Amino acid sequence: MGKSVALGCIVLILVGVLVIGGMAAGAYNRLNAADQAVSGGWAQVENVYQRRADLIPNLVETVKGAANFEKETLTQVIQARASATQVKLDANSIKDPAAFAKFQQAQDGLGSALGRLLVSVEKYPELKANQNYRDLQAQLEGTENRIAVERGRFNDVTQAYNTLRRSFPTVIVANFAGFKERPYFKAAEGSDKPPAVKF
Amino acid sequence: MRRGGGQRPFVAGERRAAPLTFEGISLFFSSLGFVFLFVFVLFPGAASAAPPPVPPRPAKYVTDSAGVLAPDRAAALNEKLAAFERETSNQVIFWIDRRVPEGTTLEEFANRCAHEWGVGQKGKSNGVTFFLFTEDRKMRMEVGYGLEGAIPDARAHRIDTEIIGPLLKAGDVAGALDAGADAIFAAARGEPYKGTGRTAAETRRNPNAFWFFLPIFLPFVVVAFVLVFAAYARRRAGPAGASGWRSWSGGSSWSSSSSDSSSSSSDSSSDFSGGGGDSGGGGSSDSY
Repeated sequence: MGKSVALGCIVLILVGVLVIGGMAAGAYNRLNAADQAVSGGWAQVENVYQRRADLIPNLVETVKGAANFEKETLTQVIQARASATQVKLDANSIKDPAAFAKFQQAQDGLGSALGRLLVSVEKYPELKANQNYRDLQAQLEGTENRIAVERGRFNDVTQAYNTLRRSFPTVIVANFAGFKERPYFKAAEGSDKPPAVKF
Repeated sequence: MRRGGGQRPFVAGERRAAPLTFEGISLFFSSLGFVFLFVFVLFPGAASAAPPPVPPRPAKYVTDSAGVLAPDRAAALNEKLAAFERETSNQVIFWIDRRVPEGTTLEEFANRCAHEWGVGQKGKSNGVTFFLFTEDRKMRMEVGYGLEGAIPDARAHRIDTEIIGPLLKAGDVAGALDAGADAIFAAARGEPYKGTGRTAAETRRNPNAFWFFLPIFLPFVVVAFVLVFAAYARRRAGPAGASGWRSWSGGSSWSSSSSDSSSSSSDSSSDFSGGGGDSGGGGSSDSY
């Protein structure tokens, strides 16, 4: 009688270990897949930000050609672009909320400098009529749209990852395996207020 | 004191052990499974402020919810777009409505629609979705990833403002969309996409017969192989157990599917079915 009890116990424990091990492996794989999706989304975000950075020198040259274009706005854009391209994040450092926030800040700074430049061009009708400039403006608007789309998709995959990571019992595996919570893109400071256009 | 009835009869000399019989173990697991089921159910979180839902997939290449196109012009444009897909596999569709839906922007709406409807072939994403909102006087050409090289944003903007816009301002919507389609075709031909001679909708209705019947016949084929192998092994092992094997009279003829000529819709114009493509937000928004 005692032997069958012991045997039953061992079987039970073995089966339990197998089941839990299987579940843990499944949870780890799901976490990994979600993590990779976020990295893929990040690559897309970097792509579109780089595209914007590449368009700017062209824009600066076109605008410089206009008579008496205000230097200050141009200089701001050039400086913002330089500092934005300096802040680089790789797949690992995007998990760090501080580095992530710095990156977003630099890029948003470039975005607002660009916005101010595009607004001030309104004062120069011959520049507005320039076909080159109009093409560039279309490209820039398209790139801004792409940035918005890729940031939105990045936030979606990050949300999926964070939700999975926090759900029980996946959270146990996540803490063991070192999966951390990932930061999101946030709306820029003051973006809920429309920009003031002063001439 | 132990109560009688409903319990296992107490046999002298037998220790009352914990219920580690098979019944006991199975009971344990079923209760555990119940607990697991309970715990693993993810309670849906509170819904955040979400943009309005994407309209259902359009059934045709031209969808006119604002009633600005004459039916014959709309049908002609529909056929033109279907023919373009047959020729080049590029999917170009037009969506006309009065106003941009509340709670979203033109760009967000356009991108979500192109993404959900899967305009463009899967893998190639060679789709263009053109949105026209007549009361808002806005339009957007949403270009898929695969056509971004042939139709960069600047080109899309030029098509919008130089070709489509003037005709729209003059009030000729059908002419504007026709000319716009021609311009999009001309630009898209810059990419070497080849068509299959059928649209995605037509391919879905008449799937390749081989791939359709394969999953049905594959188990039989596998069983046949197993039987053959088993019989062969038995023959090798010794004549005693061999039962000989009947020749497998297989070879069912793969009949090709008859073309599905009956269409479920009442009109005969070509249907649109998204190929599974995606758009990254390329294109141009303009007003007129």
